[in-house]
Order: sequence, then C-alpha cells, then structure tokens
Amino acid sequence: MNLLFKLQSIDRRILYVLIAVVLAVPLLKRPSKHPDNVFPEVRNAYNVIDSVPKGKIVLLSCSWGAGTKAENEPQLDALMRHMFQKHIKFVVFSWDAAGSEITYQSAKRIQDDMHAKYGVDWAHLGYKTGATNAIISGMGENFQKVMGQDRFGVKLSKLPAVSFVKNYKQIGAVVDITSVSLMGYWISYLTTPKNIPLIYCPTAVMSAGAYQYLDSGQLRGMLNGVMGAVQYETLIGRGHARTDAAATSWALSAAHIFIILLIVLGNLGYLAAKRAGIHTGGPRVG
Amino acid sequence: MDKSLVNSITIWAAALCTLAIYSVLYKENKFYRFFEHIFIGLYGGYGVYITWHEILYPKWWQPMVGGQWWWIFAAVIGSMFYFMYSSKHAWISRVIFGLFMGFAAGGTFREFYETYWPQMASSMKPIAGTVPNIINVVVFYVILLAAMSYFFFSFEHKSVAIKSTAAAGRWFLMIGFGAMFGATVMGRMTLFIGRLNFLLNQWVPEVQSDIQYPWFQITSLIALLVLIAVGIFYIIRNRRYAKRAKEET
Amino acid sequence: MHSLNYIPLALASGRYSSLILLAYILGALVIGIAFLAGLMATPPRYRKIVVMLVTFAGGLYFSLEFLLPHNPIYIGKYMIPGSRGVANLANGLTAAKPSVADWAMIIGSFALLLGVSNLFQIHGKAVRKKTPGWYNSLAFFITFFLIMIVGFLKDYKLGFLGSHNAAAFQAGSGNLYNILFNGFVQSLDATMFSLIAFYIVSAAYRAFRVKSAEAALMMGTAGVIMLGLVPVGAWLTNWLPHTGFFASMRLEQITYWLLIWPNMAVQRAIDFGLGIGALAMSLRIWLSLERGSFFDRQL
Repeated sequence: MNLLFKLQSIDRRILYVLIAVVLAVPLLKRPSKHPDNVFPEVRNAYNVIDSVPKGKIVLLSCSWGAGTKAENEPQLDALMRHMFQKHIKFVVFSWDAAGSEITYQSAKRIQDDMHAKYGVDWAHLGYKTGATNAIISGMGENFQKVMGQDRFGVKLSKLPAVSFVKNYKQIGAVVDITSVSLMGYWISYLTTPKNIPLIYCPTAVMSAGAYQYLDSGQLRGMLNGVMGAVQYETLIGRGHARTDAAATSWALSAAHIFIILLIVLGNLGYLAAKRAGIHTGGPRVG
Repeated sequence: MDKSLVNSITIWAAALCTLAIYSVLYKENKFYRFFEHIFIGLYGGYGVYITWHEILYPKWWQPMVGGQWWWIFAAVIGSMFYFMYSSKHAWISRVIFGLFMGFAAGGTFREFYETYWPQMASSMKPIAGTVPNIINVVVFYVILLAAMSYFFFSFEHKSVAIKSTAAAGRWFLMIGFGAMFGATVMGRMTLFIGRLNFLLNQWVPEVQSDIQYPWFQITSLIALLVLIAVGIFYIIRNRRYAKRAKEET
Repeated sequence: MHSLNYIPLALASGRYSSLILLAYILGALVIGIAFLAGLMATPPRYRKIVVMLVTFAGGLYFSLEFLLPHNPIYIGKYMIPGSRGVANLANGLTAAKPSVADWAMIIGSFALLLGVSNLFQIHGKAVRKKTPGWYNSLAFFITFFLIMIVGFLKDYKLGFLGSHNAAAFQAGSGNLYNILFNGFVQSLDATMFSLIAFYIVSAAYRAFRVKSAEAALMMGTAGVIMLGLVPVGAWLTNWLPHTGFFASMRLEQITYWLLIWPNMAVQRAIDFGLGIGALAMSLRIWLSLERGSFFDRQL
C-alpha cells in the first residue's frame, strides 16, 4: 500500500519515457498480422465502393492535414488501393490548405505503387474553401463549373478521369475522410437528397458520434480511425502486408493496455492514500 | 541538388522539428518557442500561397483577365473583411460576415430536415423479430428516452417519473461518454504513434546510413561540443544565481 | 505544374481587346469603390438595417431554395395559380447554386489575410520594441515570407536569368519548398497534435479518479471499448467460440454491441437536443435577433 501511494508522486516525465518505450517495441517489430475481425460498417464501406457502377466516380473529400495524418492517411491509402484495383475512377480534393499538398503526395505515392495514371484513373482537384454548403450543393448541380480545374490548373474537361461528370448523377459514392466532420453538409446537401452513398472516415475521436447515422442509413459505411483502415486492408487482400496501419494497430494495443494499467494503478494508489487518511487531490471524474 | 539529398535533408529537418517540439515535455524552453514561431510563420505563408495558387488564381484572376471583367466585384466585396481594422468603418465588415452567417443560418432548415428526419424515422423501431433483437430495441428505447429526458431543462423535474427517468438518463449518458473517451484515447495515441514511427523507421535508418560519412561525424562532434559547452554554461550560471540568491536572503 | 503568366492582359479572349477589358475592369473597380464609399457614408442609424438585410438575404437564398416547391402544385387537373411561377423561382435558385458556390468560394478566400494581418501586428510590435523573445517573432517573419516566395518561385520561370539558369533556379526553389513543407510544416503540425497523447498518459495516472459509481460505469465502458477496438481485445477472448451464444461474450462483440446500441441511443439523444438548439440559434442569427458581445456592438 505504501508503495502504491509513493508511486502517486512519480515524475510525469518518467511516464512519458515509459509510453515511448511501450510503443517503440511493436513499431520496431512491425508485425504484419492484421485483425481477423472486421466490423460490419467497414465491410459495408467495402461493399459500397465495390459496387460503384461503371460510368460513375467516387468523390474523396479530405478535410485533414498533417496533424491527423497518422489516422487519415491509412484510410486514404486503403480506399485508393481498392479503387485502383477495381478500376473505379475517383477524385480527391481537400478542404484543408496543407491537406491539399499532403493528400496529393500520399495519393501520388499510391498511384505509383499501383501503376495508375494521373488524369486517367484519378485526379486531384486541389484546395476548396468558402461556404461549404454552397460548394457541396453547387457541385451536385454543375460539377464542372464548381470544381473547375485540377490542382495544376488543367480544366476538368481535359481529364478523362472526370470529364464525363456533369452533376450528381455521375457520382457513385462520396467518401468523407475528415478530422473536422463535414458529414453534416454532405448528408444535407448531396448524399441524402440525391440518394448517393456516403462513407465516413473520421478520426477515432469523432467515430463514437457517428453510429446513429449508420443506424439511419445516412452513412452506408465507416472506417473508424486507423483501426478501420487496418480492417479495410484485410478486405482488399493486404491482410499480411507490412503496413504502417498494421504496426500502428499493435502499438495501439500496447498503448491501451498501458493506459488501463495506469488508470488502475492510479486509482489503487488513491484508495491506498484515502485509507491512510491522506488527501491526494486530483479532479473528480463523474 | 539530387532527390536523395533533398530527401535526406527533409528527414533530418523533420526529426529536428519533432525533437524540438517534444522538448517541451521535459520543460518549457527557448528551443521549443523558436520552433513554435517557425511553425506559425511557415503555416501562415503556406496558407497565403496555396489560397492564391489553387483558388484565387485559377478561379478569379484567370477568368477575370480572360474576359469575365465582373469578377473584380468579388475583390471589392472581399475587401470588406478588412474594414474590421478601421475603428470608424468596422461595421462594414459586419455586412460581409453577416452574409456568410446568413448562408449558414439559412441552410439550417434543409440541414435539420435532411439530418434529423431520417434519425427520427429510424428511431421508430418495431419491437419484433428474434429475442436478441427485441432486447436490443427495448434497451434502445429505454436509453434514448431516459437520456432525452435528462436534457429537459425548460421545466423542473418534480414528479418521481421524470426525476427517476432523468437520473437513469444520466447513468446511460456515462456509457456514451465512456465510448467517446475510449475512442479519444485511441485517436490521440495514434497521432503519437505516427511521429514515433517516423523517428524509429525513417530517421534512425537515415542516421545509420549517414553515420559512415565524414561530414556527419564532424557535424555530430561539433554539435556535441556545442551542447556540452551550453550545458556547462547553464550549470555555472544557475549555480551563480543560486549563490547570489542565498547571499541576499 | 502550370506556368503562371503574370502578364495578364495578353490572355484576354477574342471577345475583348486588352485595352477594352482593362477599361471594363477599371470601370467596375470604380463602381465598386463608389459602392464602398457609399457604405462608409451611411448614417449610423441605417447601418444595423443594412447588416440585417444582408444577413436576411443570405439566409433567404438557401431557405427559399429548400422550402419552395420545385414543381407546380395541382389539385386534380387544376394547377394552383401562381405555383408555376413559384416553381420557376425555386428552380432558378437551384440552377444558381454553382454560381453562388463560386462567388462564395472566391469571396471567402479574400479573407486569407485576416488572420495573417493580426499575426503581423503582434509579431511586428515584438520586433520593433525588441521585447524578450523578439528573435522568435523575427523567425516568424522570415519563415512566412520564405515559404511564400519559394512557393511562387517554383511555379514561375524567371526568364531574365536565361533558359538554363531559370530552369535550375526553378528546380532549386522546388527542392527548398519540399524541404520546408515536408520537413518543417508537416512534422511541426503533426508533432504539435501528438503532444496530447502525453497529456492523456499523465492524466490517466494522476487525474482520472473513479470516485463514484457513475464514474466507474464510464471508465468501465471506456476500458471495454479501448480493448475491443484493438487486436489485443480479440486475442484476450479468443478462447471463446466464434459462433453460437458464447460468441457474443467475445470482447470485440461486446464492444460492437455497446457502440451500436447503448452508445448510439445516447448519441442520438444528445444530437436531437443539439439539433433543436442549432435550429433555434440559426433562426435567431438569420433574423438578427441574437444578442451578445459581437451582435450588440455599436455600429
């Protein structure tokens, strides 16, 4: 009991070093094993992409930057690989300034890996900003006018990947890869009114608040942070590949066990102090 | 400059930035502050460049000088934002902000209908089917109604029925908050894992490949000597301050 | 990479000659400045009305586009008089969406210097007055202009350097841009965000105290969710069968059930409250009924 109480005053910097050591082990080993279980919302997302009809494209709306790259990039990676495998044309665009460059670099790396061709198989439409509701509802009416050109200034009419897209009728699915949740705008202005499937790829922080939309059918699928990406990789046949997402999933396992241990130890120490009649402070939870 | 050298410099720069920011975990320091300011400067400059390059130039400047002269009005309207810096005419910025707030507010009717009508419809679940499904639906109704009753703040919870339902709602809300907390921990840990992954699997191999080169060995030696000198300087300075403070008391 | 041409009038289409286009642009600019001058001369008692009208007009567009019927209304064989006109208005508003989107995107982009000018004021003051840490503010200015200039230079060939030198200069600018963006911007952004993970670790040990049954329920749920979402959760209950009644006791199944039933119900309840609140708030903003430090400011 005395030891538990003494551990309460451990320097927080020691905890920081410990978490780094705990996470370093799986990252250095880089296990390739992907989880066997795939949540239904991830499987539904896979099925939606898989069944996008010929003659339609997929919109990958990215509203993330370097801050959440560790969560959102694996999602982009898995989805793009799937669409390249199935020869589904898609466009990527970003609502974040830095995200425009980052998403292009990530997408180009995957394009080169999958031997796809820019402009023919996919296109990057650059950075968008302004009244989000106006832009989303506008692109559903006249895609070429609102989106205009790709990030290099080439008119969309000159890109085979996207020249045929006039309005919402040529959009097969929308994927919202996000750290700020534009899901509400997509649902209100395009996907629900025009009956276009929406796949949500949030950071894990936002995922708990999305299940009611899955229940109502407004979301047809979801990739929950990097774990959703790992499960999606299993579905697209990369279940044994040494990917960053797989290594991250094992590192997360170690991290979660460590955090739970810390919470338990911290509370045991608190109880020990309480029994000894010593007030240890700390804010009340609940 | 060949691509591999650029790549090498990029990795070293990224590692330096990462370690500089993480130095704040030890203690607040000038190194961290310096890189924090560099970050703000770079992000601001990049934002200006990318907004011009990907929006204003292709969608405003090019059409305007290509014949669509009326786009100049967009610049006039856009300049209204900057009146907020005028003490006499700051109200003009309220006009343009009001326009955008009006856009957002006017869209709420559609957003409310398209977002919540399907939610209400899907809340009407039939209590039928298999036994597990019936249990799930009953659990759903109990939790939904109890949690909603907790948020009825427009009247006092006097009756026992409302009081106990709201109290139960508070308990059920803890399940939602627990789910949010669990997901938050996962999300935040992932971000650190991303940086650690870079340090261990990109920077360390880069160090291992560069260590054979004389330029790296000399630079490392100089950096180490500088660090030792700075460390000795601060130790001596802190001892002097402590001695002075002791003499003064 | 497209090459930017800053000799703009040469791009003028066949519809206008360069001088006529310049005349139109300058003429429109004069009209725009006159409009701004008119606004500046508006008496104070009319200012609030102008703001209210513009806010209302902005909201009116999306409201009418949604609320008005897009087809004429018939009772049996007879069309309600005026409904065709209303439908035409609604369809016109819908057809105007791409243009509204364009204008909103471009006008919104002009606000790009708002935040930047505030930063310039703060850091400029620090450099001028040489306050402690002023060199940080100097670094801010240097890096701000460095990445901006390098970004533009990588897209633009400096013809006066000669073809070979211009290409080398452009390539060099591109390399420096990549180092600044990938090496500095990305890593600094990602590292700043990742600091929160450490604070969670520290808080988990020193601050998360389970002092009540409700807190225990919350922490218990969090623990189950945390384990169930990651591979170790499935490993912990791997000894349970994959099918049958006991399969529902597997940790990932319990996690999934918690997420899609209790959590879903709670989130929906919270969302309903938020939605009604947002609707009420939007109505107040649209009709300029909102009060507070921003809305009550003297115009």
